[in-house]
Amino acid sequence: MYALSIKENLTWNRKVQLLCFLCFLVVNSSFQSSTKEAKRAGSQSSPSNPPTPQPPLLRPEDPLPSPSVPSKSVPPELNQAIQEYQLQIERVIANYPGGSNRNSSLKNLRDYRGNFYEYFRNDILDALPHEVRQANGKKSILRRNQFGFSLTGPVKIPGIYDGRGKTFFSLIYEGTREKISRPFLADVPTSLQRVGDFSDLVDNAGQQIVIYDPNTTRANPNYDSSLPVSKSNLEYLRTAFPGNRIPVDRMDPVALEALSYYPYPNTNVGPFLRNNFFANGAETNTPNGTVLKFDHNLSYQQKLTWSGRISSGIDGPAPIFENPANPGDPKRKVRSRRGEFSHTVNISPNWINKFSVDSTYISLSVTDTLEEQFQTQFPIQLGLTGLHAGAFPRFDLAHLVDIGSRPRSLYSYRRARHRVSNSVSVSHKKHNVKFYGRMHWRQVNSFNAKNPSGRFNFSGQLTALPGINNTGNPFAQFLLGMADRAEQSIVLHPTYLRSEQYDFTVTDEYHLTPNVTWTFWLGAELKTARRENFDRQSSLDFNGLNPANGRPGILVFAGRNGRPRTFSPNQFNWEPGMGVALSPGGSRKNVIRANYALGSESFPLRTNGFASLGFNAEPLLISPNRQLEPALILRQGFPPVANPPNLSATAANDQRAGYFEPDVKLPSLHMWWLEIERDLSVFAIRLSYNGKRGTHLFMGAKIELNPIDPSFLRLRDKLNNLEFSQSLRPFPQFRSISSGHDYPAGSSSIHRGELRLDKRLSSGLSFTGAYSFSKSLDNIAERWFGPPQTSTNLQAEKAISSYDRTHRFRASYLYELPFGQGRRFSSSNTWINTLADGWRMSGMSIFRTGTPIQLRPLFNNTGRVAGSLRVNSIASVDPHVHKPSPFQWFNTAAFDQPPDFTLGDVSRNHPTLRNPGFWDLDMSLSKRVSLSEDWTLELFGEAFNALNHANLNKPDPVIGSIRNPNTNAGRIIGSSGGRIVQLGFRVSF
Amino acid sequence: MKKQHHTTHYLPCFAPWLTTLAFCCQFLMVPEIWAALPPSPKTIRFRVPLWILQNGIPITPPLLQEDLAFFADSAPLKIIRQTEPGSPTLLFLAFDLVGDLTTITPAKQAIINQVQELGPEYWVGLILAQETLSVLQEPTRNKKLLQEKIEGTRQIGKAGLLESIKALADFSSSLMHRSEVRIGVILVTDSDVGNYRFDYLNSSINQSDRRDLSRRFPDRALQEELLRISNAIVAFPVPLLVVHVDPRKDRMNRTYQEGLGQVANIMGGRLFLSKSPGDITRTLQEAFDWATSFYVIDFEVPKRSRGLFKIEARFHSSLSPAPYLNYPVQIFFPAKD
Repeated sequence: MYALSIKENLTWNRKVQLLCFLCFLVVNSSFQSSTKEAKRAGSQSSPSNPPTPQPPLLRPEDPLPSPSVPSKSVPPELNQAIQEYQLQIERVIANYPGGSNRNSSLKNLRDYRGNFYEYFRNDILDALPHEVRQANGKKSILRRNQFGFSLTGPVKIPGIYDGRGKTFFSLIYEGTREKISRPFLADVPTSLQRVGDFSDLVDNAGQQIVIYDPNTTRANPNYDSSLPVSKSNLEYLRTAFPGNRIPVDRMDPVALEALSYYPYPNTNVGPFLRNNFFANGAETNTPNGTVLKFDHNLSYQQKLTWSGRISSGIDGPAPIFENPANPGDPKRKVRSRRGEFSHTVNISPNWINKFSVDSTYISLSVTDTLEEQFQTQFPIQLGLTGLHAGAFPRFDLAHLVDIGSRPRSLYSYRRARHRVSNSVSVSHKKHNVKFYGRMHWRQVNSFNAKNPSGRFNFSGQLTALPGINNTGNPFAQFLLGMADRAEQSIVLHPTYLRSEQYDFTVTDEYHLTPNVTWTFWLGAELKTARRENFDRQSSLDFNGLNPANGRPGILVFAGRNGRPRTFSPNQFNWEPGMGVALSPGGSRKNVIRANYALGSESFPLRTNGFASLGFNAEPLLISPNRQLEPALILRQGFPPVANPPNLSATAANDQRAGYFEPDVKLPSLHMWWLEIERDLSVFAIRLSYNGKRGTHLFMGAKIELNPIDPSFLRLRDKLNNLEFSQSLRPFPQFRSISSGHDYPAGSSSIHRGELRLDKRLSSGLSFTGAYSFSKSLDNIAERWFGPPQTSTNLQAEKAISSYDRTHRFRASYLYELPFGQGRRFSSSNTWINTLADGWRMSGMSIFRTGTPIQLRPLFNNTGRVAGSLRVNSIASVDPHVHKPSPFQWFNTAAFDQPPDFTLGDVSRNHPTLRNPGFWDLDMSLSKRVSLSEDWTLELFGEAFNALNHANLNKPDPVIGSIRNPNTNAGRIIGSSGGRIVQLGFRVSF
Repeated sequence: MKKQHHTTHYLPCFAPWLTTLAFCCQFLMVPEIWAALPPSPKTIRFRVPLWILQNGIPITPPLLQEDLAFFADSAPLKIIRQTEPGSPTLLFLAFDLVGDLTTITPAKQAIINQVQELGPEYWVGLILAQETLSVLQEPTRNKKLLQEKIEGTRQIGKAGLLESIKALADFSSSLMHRSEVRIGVILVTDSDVGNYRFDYLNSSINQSDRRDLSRRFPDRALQEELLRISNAIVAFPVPLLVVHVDPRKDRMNRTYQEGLGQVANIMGGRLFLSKSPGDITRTLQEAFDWATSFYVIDFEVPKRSRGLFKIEARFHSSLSPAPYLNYPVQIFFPAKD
């Protein structure tokens, strides 16, 4: 802003008085030009030595502007303004960052921009989480410092290179040092149970559970096979342990050795001695990340950019046990690297070409080297024979906390992605056309030993009364050392998976009229099938006859015996789409946008070692009848297994085989979207609807492709005989067949409407609120929920999606407090103004209704026919309650455990019952302090879940039978959440 | 009164001739020169842009001095002069176009069309506002030349509006206050906040840091930068009209656009957002309508303590519906010059 100040005016007057009038004009001109302007422009001129006029300083790449000397016809004030323009543009260009007058060190510093910051969290600032309070726990330790800096500016090497206006860099660093406790509440055996005394063992209704001696199993001579098995019609008889106590001499020495690693109960949340173990282990994380970018203007039309990103750290999840038998995740090294290069050239104003290459590398590995892991002899220490070293053997104890290394604890991978792309944008008349091509290479190297030192399952059925639910106990079976399933993984080689993708897309944006713009695009996509670098892949061929039993189905190997290197075909897809944007009536206030697109997905390169049978081995022992006899007794060890490779056609016999569908259709997605936007001055309202329909979607959970038909459920207890039930499978020589998690048989439909209100910043306040209503249906079984009830009828899995939330509301706001100079409330006192100025409050709030309740029965007694059994509904009983509360969230009387050897009839996700909703309010208060013209300090405090609101946990969805009810069914035990406070500062320059 | 603010473009080689000429003309100029003595030293003169809006659309009714009043803290300010639409104007078009031809091409065409429609009183200059300011074309009335330059504007590189807007404001504001004509700036941008060299996106550096809450308010650093710019340019009132031809809808870009709007408002201008590629032409037309319909008001402010103060304009009009005035409501005292 220019305004003649008092001082300046006085100076001007003084000069007028001192000089003669003849000199006045000259002095006046030189005064204004040389003293004041030269001072601003950093010129060397003085009133007595007026400088030579200079043209505006231009960047080297700028074209020379044509001189525009005002003619005599130009009004004098305009003439004068144009001359003043020359001075001002020269001054500004020279004195702002990048300008040529920035020679002093201080001015040079202004060429650079950046900041440094620190975020600080400590448990002193936080509220006690609700879940910890309910477990009678204490506030756990939290120490977290997150710090970093960024710096951006021209590359300058004194005396060698000055990259101002040409070469720039940007450097960012961020590090975190964190130690945080993680609460964990679960069930462990009581002190009595640890010594074999199960007199305190009760079921969910508080009734005693009887432990039976598996060694006393005998056929019931009075069994009537025409009637269902029941307590009055038992097929097998079994005697209970006297006093519900297992004699010490019956306990397995391996189990007792493993028991020394198993913690005692340390709390008593209940009910019925449940929720008696609370752990609060410390999780650590120490990542360091750096991003470095360069960009260089080759010329006016060409630009080069390069960026590199490095991040390394150790991710240490909180241990559940503080010993080697910890069942949680191990510590892992996480590393990621990314590099990107691009070259952009403006061939002509209507033609831009951009070429880019980028590579990404991510790795995850256990902190200790694999060699060190394999030297650890935990199986031998426990007395378990026949197993490889590498981890602590895993003992799965159903609802109790498991013992030993989590599956895939030795899992590590290196994932790399390389892309080369080129885009050409051409503009011609009403068309803007863009051509885009990309080549994409994906590589995944993974070592995935799922259970390197064995895994043993204890269902408890061997200590139950055969065929009778709610008897027996998994821990009792563990003490006896009788595993009903045992497996180990023998992985000799990492897997080196590769695939490529080639895309080509043409997009045309056509401005039909000023009010209507159409966009059309067509993509062509070629995706190659996954292959293994050393051809260590296997699949099944159902045309070949298995030498073992003469039935169709043999194991085949990629690249061998004339077979191709890949099993699934290359996929080619067209991906068309179109969109329109129009303004009805030519009004700028209303806009309607609509889009339709067809997309597809490709098979991901999983890292789980899928379909490597033959090259690796996963020996599996399954009890012939887990109600009657074990698969393995711990003290006897794992039977000897021949090391792989075993490249015979029968290598998958009695194993779980991986299978590639040869003629599979890949997932395709139809997406459409409609939006109406109306501008109301400071407000904008947007109403939108989008829909998505997917077919051939990946199922997520493993789908059994070798299922027992549900019609065989009529055979009832005979199905518990493994050999018999195996004979009912289409390919009885295989235990199971799956396509991993990527079987493309899913379908989904999503419909979502949203109303959004934006208030633009005015009076210091901006606000955004959005409400959405949605419904989503699918038949996709989630991996964490387990397989579908039956794999023979996947359409029966169709239900409300497990992630469906009908109502969502989110709001965010920013409010600049109206205190301080120039604001609504100001003071004449400078100090008060300084303190009151620069405060801002911002926040965001989320509310969403709950997801559908996924009911499941207490027992699954279907002889391996049903994957995830559902419950039965009871007609005429309303599943809803008048006022849902934690004591009764839904009416459990409306559901029942399906009778043995029958399927449930309630849908996978209940259509109307919902889990509790979620509500969160985060707030932030910040204060800005100007340290100088270029340096500012920002202090801030942030509160997440600021109101310390407790969100209810999900209700217990397990439905028992009338005889064996689950008393917790429909009840919500506890809540979670707690206020977290974070403080920080940022200095910007 | 008028001549005191003239800054003569000095040409030393012609200095003797100018001196002689001035000597010859002195007798003619004396009364005017003495009349042009500076105002009372107890006041400072300000120039601010002002729009008269009716239903949100700028109108250009004759503006009589008695109809308009300016106040600072309820005290009336002395209006020295009003410059009306239709008077000689220097209009600067600043470009920060680095994105896709899909939006740049129609934007350029719309600008060319609007420039063609400007009257002879408009001299148009072209500036590139990326990283630093650079001149594409000095002010000219040669529309063919302007068209060539606009068509040839570079459209690759990094977004740089936030780096150059202060320089642009300083330049245009200083020019406005040192001249008698209207100065207008239309800043055309398609910048995505993610295309800046500086990382305003505050994107995650360590993907393995799963409990990073520092990005729960991801736009904090951007808001801070925009506030810093707002505070820096509050001393440069000028009719700045920011036109964003490709506004994205994500949270960070909305924050960015709100910040641009705030910056434009503080300077007395406005932000125009194109709603679709087809809307670019109308958006730019609206911006040019604003650029051709503002008044410039010169008034004096009595000496006061350093810092911001509020001004209020009142307009007595028989128009119906009652017009609304758009102007910078805060002024920095004294001038940051």
